[in-house]
Amino acid sequence: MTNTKKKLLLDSDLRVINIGMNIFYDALKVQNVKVIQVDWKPGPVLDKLSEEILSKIM
Amino acid sequence: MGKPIPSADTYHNVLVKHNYYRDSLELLRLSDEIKRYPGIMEASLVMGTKTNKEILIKLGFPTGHIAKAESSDMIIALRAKDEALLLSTIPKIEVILRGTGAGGEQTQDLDHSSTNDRHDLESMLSSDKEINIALISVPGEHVKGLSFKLIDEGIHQQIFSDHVTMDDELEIKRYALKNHVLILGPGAGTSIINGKGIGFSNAVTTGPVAIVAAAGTGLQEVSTLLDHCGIGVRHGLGVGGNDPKEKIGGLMMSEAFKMLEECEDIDVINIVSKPPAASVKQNIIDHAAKYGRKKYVMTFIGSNASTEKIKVNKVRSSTRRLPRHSNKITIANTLTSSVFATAKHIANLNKSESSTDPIYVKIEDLKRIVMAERKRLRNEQKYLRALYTGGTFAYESQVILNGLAIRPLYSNAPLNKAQLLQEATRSFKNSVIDLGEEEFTKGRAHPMIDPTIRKLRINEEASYDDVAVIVLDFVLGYGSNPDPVGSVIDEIRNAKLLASEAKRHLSVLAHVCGTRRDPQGYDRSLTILKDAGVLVLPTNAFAAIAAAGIVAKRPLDFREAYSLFIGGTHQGELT
Repeated sequence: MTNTKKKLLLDSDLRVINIGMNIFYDALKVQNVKVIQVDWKPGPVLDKLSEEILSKIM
Repeated sequence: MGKPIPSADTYHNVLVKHNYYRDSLELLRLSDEIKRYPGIMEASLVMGTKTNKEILIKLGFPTGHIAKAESSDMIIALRAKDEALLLSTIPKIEVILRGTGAGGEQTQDLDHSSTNDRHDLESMLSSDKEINIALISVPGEHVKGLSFKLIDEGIHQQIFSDHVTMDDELEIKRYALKNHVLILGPGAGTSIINGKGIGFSNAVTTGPVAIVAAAGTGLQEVSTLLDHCGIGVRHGLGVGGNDPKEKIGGLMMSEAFKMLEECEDIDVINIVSKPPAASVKQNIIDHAAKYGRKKYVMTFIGSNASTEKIKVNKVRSSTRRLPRHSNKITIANTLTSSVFATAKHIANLNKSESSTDPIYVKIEDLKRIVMAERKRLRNEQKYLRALYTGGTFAYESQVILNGLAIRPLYSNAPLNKAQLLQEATRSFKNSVIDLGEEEFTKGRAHPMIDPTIRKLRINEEASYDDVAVIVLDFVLGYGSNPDPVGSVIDEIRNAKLLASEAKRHLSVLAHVCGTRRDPQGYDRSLTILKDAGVLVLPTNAFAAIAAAGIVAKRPLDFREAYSLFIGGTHQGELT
């Protein structure tokens, strides 16, 4: 049996958080879907070595 | 900044901003805005990826500064009619870029009014407990951390981002299942929930059909074609192309299927995918056969009856019914045959006639169109060049062209390794190009949004003496380019003119994936294409068969082609 929470998604009005491209925010807005936009910008991407060093000292 | 360089009555300037990131869509929007300045002839603001640098050089900008740019650098390339205008535009661009340069996260609130308030994701999630799904389109390497955070909050997700490793995908999906969260994607461009499109999607009628798709434009094609037949789609869940592979094991395909099984207002469930891993396919078929209460269409694009695990009727047809469940499950091998099979189920349930006429082309009509084109070709015109924005269309066309023995056939996203193009940027003999593949999209907006690469490619393909036909798809709907047809129509006209001046006839075939309620205008798009001399077919499968008919060494057996890839219950044909 699928969990009720998932089933609810198909029965409820959508309330979307859009993380990334604004174009998808606009597309939802045009359809009168409730949507929040998070304009995401990349944080620094650590290389593997840096990650290992940081994980050891933190 | 380089000094403006005069070139044949125009001036151009190339500026490289080091370690300066902006999203590809933001840069596309800025480029379009600057192109509208009076006197500006070309404006390209792009990140310095290999593809982008090649395109700038093809657009006629000097290689010097461009070649030195790194993928983390932004390139601003301008062409104008006079030097003063060019020099005065650069500071304006700098001002615009500073205005868009907010770091971190910026939000717009639910009543759709923009706000400069900044919130972090965590505070927003804690303040709004009604959020039920997240649409994620950040670079792939950042997806896993974000997805886990959202799973912890119980938020379902549609992940549009590509370049998420399959190891990460498996980890995300296993964790999501434990926490009763649905994950659509990674690589899921399209979904429909309760008639509302998420991502690239179309304005389709809501109705008794649900689709589970591991092929984004496949979902768009099936839902829009059903719409043309007056049949509605309530839900369309895109699970991402990797989900039905052995490694992921169809985790979310099965989950979505079970969710839809519980929906009382759904009569037909359609699974749309490239052929899944054998175990995944068997699981879904078994579940439908044993427990399913609905009608099912299993659209495994390019599936071959001889390799099916299940016993099927031996009738050679594009749709096959399982003998023991003949009224319940149908297997289809193209998107078009899938729609006909779905319509048939609906017609049987409603005890009414199927209404697929709007998307059907009679055999004799298609044959007449194709033979007329063949007669206009010169002997050296032998090959087709298909330039697709939709990956599923590129795949489906290769299935059809291979099935109709169009050889030799190559692609940058081939069905088998032997057909891999050496260079995606250069066609060879018969070539099917998926412009949505990584080599074209790294650092650029998807070709459904940004037509630049296809515009250049149309010009290039038309210049070859041995090209007979160019095949194009146009995907309308939410998220797509505001005018996909209008944005390349000049190139199509020029391509036909160029061929005509060389005493050649160039066939251009097109298919428009969209509905009459899509914002770009379906009928308008068709009219523009037809006025430019483009042959427009109602589905991608018909366009592929027509293209095969034009370049086939011997005249095509159209009845055979229809039998294999269309299905045979229309207006008495093939029955």
